[in-house]
Formats: sequence, structure tokens, C-alpha cells
Amino acid sequence: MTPDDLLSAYADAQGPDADAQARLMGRLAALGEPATVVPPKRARVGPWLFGAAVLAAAVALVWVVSPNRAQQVEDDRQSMAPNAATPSPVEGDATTRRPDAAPAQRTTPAVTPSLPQVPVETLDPPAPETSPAERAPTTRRAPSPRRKPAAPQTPAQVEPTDTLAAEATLLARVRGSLSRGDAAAALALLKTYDDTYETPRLAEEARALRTMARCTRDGPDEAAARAFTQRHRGSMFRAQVERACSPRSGQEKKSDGG
Amino acid sequence: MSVTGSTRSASDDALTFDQIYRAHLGFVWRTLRSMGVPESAVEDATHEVFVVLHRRWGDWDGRAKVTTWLYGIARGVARNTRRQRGRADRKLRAVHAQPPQDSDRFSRPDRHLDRADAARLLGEFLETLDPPKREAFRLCAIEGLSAKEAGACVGEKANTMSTRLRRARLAFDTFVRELQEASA
Repeated sequence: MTPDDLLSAYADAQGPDADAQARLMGRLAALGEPATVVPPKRARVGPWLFGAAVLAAAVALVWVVSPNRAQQVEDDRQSMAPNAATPSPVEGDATTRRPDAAPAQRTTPAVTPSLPQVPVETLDPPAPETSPAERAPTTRRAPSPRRKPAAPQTPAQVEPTDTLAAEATLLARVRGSLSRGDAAAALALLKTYDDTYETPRLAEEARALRTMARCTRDGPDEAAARAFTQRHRGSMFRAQVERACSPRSGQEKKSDGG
Repeated sequence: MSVTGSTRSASDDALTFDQIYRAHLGFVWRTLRSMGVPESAVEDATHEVFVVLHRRWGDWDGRAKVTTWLYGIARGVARNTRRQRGRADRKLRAVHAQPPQDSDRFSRPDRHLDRADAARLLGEFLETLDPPKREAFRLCAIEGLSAKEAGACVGEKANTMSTRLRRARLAFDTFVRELQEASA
């Protein structure tokens, strides 16, 4: 017996048996669908925000220390140099003031020499004229990604519980037939199940029972068991299917017959 | 070395209550048993865990693993159940002790015996571990949780769980080797 066999046997022994599973499935049907639907896992935006902030900082840094920027600053300084070298007409004698120069044009360059040359119209974005109260929502923080959206409770999301109960009941009958060794009856019930429910909710259990019924009827079929376990990895019916379809089970059936 | 893969069977990205119920039924059942819920009460306790899950369904925002959530609910339910049912269960066992019945009739009794023996042997091995290592081994090796997920369940760091699991696995390897030598 391998370590995995030990663990598997322990998990089976400590877990619910088939009857308990069937009973619990029936009780699940009584619960019905919860009123709200679990939202899908939230996308983790924290790392993206952090990355975006780092990227923005890097771009800003590159812009500040870039040679073009340094050249631009140097150009600005050089363009300001004559004004700085010559005495300011504003501070000097009023008689030296050129009549065609406005005072504002004389004073503003000394205050903002390094501002980039941005067209005036871009400084004022073409925002619609709205009152501060109307603009307020645009400045609010976006809703937190962890905040749960209000899940709409539409009638389509709430499935009727009687369908699940009927499915569980029918599969319990299938299980009963298999327990009695009547694989043909079990397969007939499963055919009814397939015909009745186009989108069954207990399809996994139905497939497990069908696989076990075929192995009971036709003999061991490890490939069928393997196909089931590959399709439903981690299924709680795995151990039952494997036991029902193992060659050892078939030998035991023969020894029963002999 | 997991055998159930309960956390892998349903994607956490698109879960329905029905899927969680079916995928984690065994996990909840075994967890309750490991927490000392009497055998006669474990079915009701399992159902109660899912009733709580059903009631709080809208509270889950998907940040935690569903196994972590279920483990936390199971811990509370186990505490209540032990308190309520422990005394009654002891009386019941004293009146008529019955061997556990395996209702799975698809396989032969001797095969049952093999598996039953294996389960009993592993149960005895687990009893030799101290509780923290036992729970680490149970959650990781049997239930298939990662060390991080198991740590989230019991409120420990992943590294702590890894250390416990490594020591438990060493003991398990020794146990298996001795078992194989004895049977050879």
C-alpha cells in the first residue's frame, strides 16, 4: 500500500459516505439558491496603481533631467539674460519706458522664466461651465475595487429549488438501483435523467453513477474511471468510481459468481 | 501528495453556492471530525456550516479563499456542536456501540477491510503527531491546501505551516517505511 493509498483511504473513511452525501444533497435543495450571487474575484488593482505611480514618477524624472529639458532651461536663461543684464525699465527712469510695451509684459518674465511654453488655451481645459456642486462628483475618488457592487437580484438568478430537489431524488433512485446491483435499471433512470434535464446541476454525480453502472454491467473499465477523474479532478465521487471500475473489483465479482 | 484536491476542484473565479457545496463537502466533513465533532453529529454540523455559508453568501467579497472561510465557519460550528452534543453522544455510545457502517456496496468486503485498515493505520499515525503538526499534515497532505492557505485557516504564517508539514512528512515517511518493512 503506497502513501497515497493510505491518505486516500483515510480521506474516504473520514469523509461522508454515499448515503450521507445523498442526504446532504437533498438538504442543499431545501436551502435553495442564495439571494445574491458571489461576485467574481476582484482584480487586484493595488499593484497596477503602484506600477502606474512608479512609471509616472520615472517619466517625470526623465523629463526633468533630460538633455532637451536642460537645453530648454538653458535657452530660457539665455533668453532672459539680456533682460537681467540691462536695467529694468520698470525700475528705471519712467522716461526710458518704451511706450509700446505694456507693464505686464515687463514684469511677468521675471516671475515665471522656467515655465514651459504652453498655449494659453491648453491651460484652461474646455470644461463645461458648471457650478462647483456639479463638478464635485468628477473630483471624487473612484469607488474602491474591494467595494462590493450591489448585486442585482433579478428573478433569473434565483433558480427554483424544486428542480434541484427532483434531480437529487432521481439520482438517489439511481444510487438505490446500483446498491441493489441492478445496473440496467440504474442506466434506464439515468437515461430519464438525461432526457428530463437539459442543463443538469448534478451532472457530475450523474456521470459518476453512469460510469459505475456501466462498470457494474460490463465489467471493469479503468479507462472509463480515468476519463471521469480527468474530467472531474478532485471529485468526491472519484474513489467510488475507481473502486467500481478497477480490475480487482471485476475479479471479485467473478469470484462471487464462481 | 494531496488526495482530495478540494481547493482545486472549483475555480475561485466563478463560484456558485452549489459548486462550493459539492466541491467542499468532504473538506468540511473531515474538518469537523478533526475538530472533535461527534460522529453522530457530523452530518448535521456539516449542513449547519453550509447553512451559515448560505446566510452570509452576500458578505463574501472573494478576497479570502473559500476553504479559509469554510474552515472558520466550521470552527465555530464545531465548538457549538461539541458543547451541545458531546454529552448526549457519550450516552448514546454507552447504550449501543455499533461498528461504523460503510454504505458503499460497489466493492468487496476484503477490499473494504484493506482500506479500512489503511484508514485506521493512518489515523493511529496522526494521533502520534502533536496537534499543530497533525492539522498541518491534514490540511496540506490530505486536503490539498497550500501552506499559505493552511496557514490562513489556522492563523499561522506560511513558513510556520511549511515547517510543521515538513516535520510531519518526515514522520509519515518513517511510518510508511516501517509499515512496508513489517508487511514484507
